[in-house]
Amino acid sequence: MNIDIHHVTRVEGHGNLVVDVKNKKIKVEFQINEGTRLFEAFLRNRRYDEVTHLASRICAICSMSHTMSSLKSIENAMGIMVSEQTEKLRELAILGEHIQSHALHMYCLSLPDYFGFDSIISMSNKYLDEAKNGLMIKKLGNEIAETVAGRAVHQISAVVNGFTKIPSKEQMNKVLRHLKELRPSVLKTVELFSSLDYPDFERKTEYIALKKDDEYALYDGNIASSDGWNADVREWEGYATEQIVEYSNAKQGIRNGHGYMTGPLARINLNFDRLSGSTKDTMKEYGIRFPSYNPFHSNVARSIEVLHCFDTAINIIENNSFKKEKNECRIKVGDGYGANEAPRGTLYYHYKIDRKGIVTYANILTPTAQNLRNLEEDVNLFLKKILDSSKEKIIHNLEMLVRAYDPCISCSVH
Amino acid sequence: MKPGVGIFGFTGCAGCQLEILNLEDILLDLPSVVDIINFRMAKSENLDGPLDISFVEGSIMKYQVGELKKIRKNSKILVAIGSCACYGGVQYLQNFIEKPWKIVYNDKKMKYASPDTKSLSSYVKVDYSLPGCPIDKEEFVDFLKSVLLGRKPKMKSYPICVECKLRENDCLLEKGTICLGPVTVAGCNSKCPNNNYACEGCRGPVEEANISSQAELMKEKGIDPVDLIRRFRMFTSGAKEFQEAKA
Repeated sequence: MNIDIHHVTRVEGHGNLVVDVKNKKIKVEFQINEGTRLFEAFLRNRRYDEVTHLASRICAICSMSHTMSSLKSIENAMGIMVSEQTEKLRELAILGEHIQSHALHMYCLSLPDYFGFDSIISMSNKYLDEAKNGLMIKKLGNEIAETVAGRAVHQISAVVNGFTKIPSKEQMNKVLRHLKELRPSVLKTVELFSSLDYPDFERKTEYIALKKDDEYALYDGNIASSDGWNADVREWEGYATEQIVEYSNAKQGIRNGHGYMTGPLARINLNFDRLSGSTKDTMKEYGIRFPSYNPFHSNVARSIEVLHCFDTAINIIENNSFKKEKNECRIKVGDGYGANEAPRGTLYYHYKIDRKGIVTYANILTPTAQNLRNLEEDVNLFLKKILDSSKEKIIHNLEMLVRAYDPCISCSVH
Repeated sequence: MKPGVGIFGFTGCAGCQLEILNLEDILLDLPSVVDIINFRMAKSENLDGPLDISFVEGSIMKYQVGELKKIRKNSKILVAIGSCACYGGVQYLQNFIEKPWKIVYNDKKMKYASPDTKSLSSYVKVDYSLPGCPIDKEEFVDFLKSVLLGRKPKMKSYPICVECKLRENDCLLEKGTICLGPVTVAGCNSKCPNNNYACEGCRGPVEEANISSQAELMKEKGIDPVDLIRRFRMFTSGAKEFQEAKA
């Protein structure tokens, strides 16, 4: 049997899932045919204060994460310690991005499968409240990003060592009011996504995410694994490699010859005890338990993360006031490393900067590229389980599995 | 009958398609005025055509030309959305580097390899262009309204500076930063200068932009010519007017 799902829909970018089954042997290729983009080549020979706006163009949905990891890598190279206010604002911006991206995925890309529709638009004929809820949450995620960093898609004001413009108290209060007004919709989201009928499939793999002692790591942390190791971000390239595969324009993340998973399920599996108190209470109320080894449960993880992001954002705005700060910096030669949790997983940047402030080397590991091998391994095992179904049903189930990873294909071919 | 619309993406970040999905307040009402016939990023049942209006995002690699031509054939009006579709976008920067393929893929031969990337108009007739990185979603809505009302959409013929002055922003050019506001086509409501960040020219050149005299002016203000050229080579380096900026 051959399956060729040409241009998987309701994911970001272009990819074909090609499966070949012969004598019970299964060959899986997720062929990423999105055009090559070569960022790691053209970011070279650019100034330290230009590369971040270019790097954010790797991906629109997670442009905020690219902005932050790029800035952190430059600051790390030049020995810049940013202010506490800058860290808080950046954290808030990342929370906004997670809210936006998760709501987009859950309601626009994934939920139509579970409700039997082809899009959020057709779904809204029968499930208008759910569709509207999802869009309002997504809109608020964008509002946070825009308020803090000037624009939701491709940020403007976040620069090396700070911001070119600080949001006013009125703007922040407006965001705060919206967060509080919309929180009940997020609780409904957790209830909805924890009660969907997910395919019964488990495969334990290695889960990797940033980790911090005292909080749920999104903006910062060490790299940690479910295998028990924990390393400084600058050691990351020693732990995992990217492999070039001939059939795909995206490289694949490999550790010890196998795939690994990064993203919402990995984060919750590793760090659920560090979620906000109220988020943990809600999980208890709905009987949601982690760890889970079912990749489809990534949706449950996303809904929980949105609640955590709401509560953390409310906390940041209520407990901080923001004022204009200086953001000058001194050019210094160095190697710099930066990472944060993008909605789809750990994003990593490594720049080398010369004495004139020119970037001479850039290496970027994106979450989707890291997840691709693991996705193929999942498809392989899941297919064995559903092989007796009709071809039509197999195709639909495999598409759902691909979507569960929320692949960001533009990112993966950076 | 409602006009049939297609929304397509090629090589890029999908930010212009995302900006359409970011129209949260009106997204669910769109089907009352148009039939969305093809939008693979957001729906799974899609038809090739016929299409009254196609919005196409992204730059084009050689192996994508056939697909683009098919869209052109099926569409009455084809609109390039975003600076990748209009100018080749950031991907066009590959053209200024020696052996970029070697740097990223170690010269390995790949199934979908294609060393060059171009704007839509390099391969097909483009009826309208909505530039920007990303597009401005308000401008997109205005454009769609015009087409639906049977009016000829009006494209802007003045620079970002006009929008910036209307907002009474401090002039960043006067402060000695490289701001491309004077030579860049308006339409974003000067979003970057509003955030105290100089215009990077992401919307591409305005009609009759005098790039060389603008470049001379900035050099007189003490700006390093090399920095200046880099500024013209960010998001719309495929625009031949911007390539005229020389050291």
